[in-house]
Amino acid sequence: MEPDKIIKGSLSAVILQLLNNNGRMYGYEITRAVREGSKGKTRITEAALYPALHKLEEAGLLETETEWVDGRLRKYYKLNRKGRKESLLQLDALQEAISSLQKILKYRLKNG
Amino acid sequence: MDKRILTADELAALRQFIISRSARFAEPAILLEIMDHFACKTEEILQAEPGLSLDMAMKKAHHAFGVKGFAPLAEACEKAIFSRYRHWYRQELRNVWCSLHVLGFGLLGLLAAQLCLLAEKLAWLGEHGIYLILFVEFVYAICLYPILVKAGYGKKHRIFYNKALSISNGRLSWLRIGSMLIIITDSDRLAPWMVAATVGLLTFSLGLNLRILFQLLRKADRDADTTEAQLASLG
Repeated sequence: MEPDKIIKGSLSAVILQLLNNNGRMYGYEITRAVREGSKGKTRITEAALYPALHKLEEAGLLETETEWVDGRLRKYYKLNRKGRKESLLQLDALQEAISSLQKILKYRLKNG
Repeated sequence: MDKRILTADELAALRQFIISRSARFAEPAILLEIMDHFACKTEEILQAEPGLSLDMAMKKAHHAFGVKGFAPLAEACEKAIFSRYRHWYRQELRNVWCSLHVLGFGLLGLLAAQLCLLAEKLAWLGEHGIYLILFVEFVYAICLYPILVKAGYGKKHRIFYNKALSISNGRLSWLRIGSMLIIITDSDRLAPWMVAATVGLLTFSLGLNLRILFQLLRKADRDADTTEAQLASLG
């Protein structure tokens, strides 16, 4: 199974955490951060990223601002107060899920 | 090594490339959303392979978007605009309910109901005349949306107007069903006051809806102006 598929399930937590760590980011910067952060092992496509960003925006967790950069309009996303709180909650949930998964993977039946 | 930044001419070529993929991407709001991401990707490819032509870099960048190309991005952008207008509709609905407009439309509804009763009493409109009024309101509720869309409200920035109209139109569905049920019911089964009350309620609801629609269309005007200014700056 490709790691991308596992990451996609936690995409909103990943986006929120990246924004929490880096302040504001634009779409392409987020895809690059995921790629570089995972040393090229994980990629998120635009098809997955933008719907996720818009959903977070609709949920009132993100704020956007636009700026002219290098002759084109760039849209930056950043967390608001509600987003920062949600980011911590989602990070806790993600870490708990990872820890549970590790325990499950190591589990052996006592009489097995 | 200096970061490769696309020139104005190259950005214009990118713009043409995006538009050439689908007429849907020519919509300025969508074009602006795709443009920066596509430009960043093309710049990265050109940075990694400086000898590559712009055409090839654009093709490679487009390929990296996946089999659906720019479509998911455009879809996400459209959904975001729709959600924004739906949020505004709810906000405007609350505003109208807290304003004097509700009183005005209430009086208009009462007047329509009274006229209906009077028409029934004096047999102005014949035996089934009241149903004619209901039918007119029903047709209005059905036709408003397609007529406004066909009139090309906001020809250049259709996306904003279409979303505003679509939300407003969606809210009239229950009215259509209600009035249709009354129209198809046999007139003998309903008391005149029930028909008059329905006409009054319909007039009130359509009035409120129309008021909110105009507020939404004004927001769409502002969105269109902002996008137009951004597009003009793009060159």
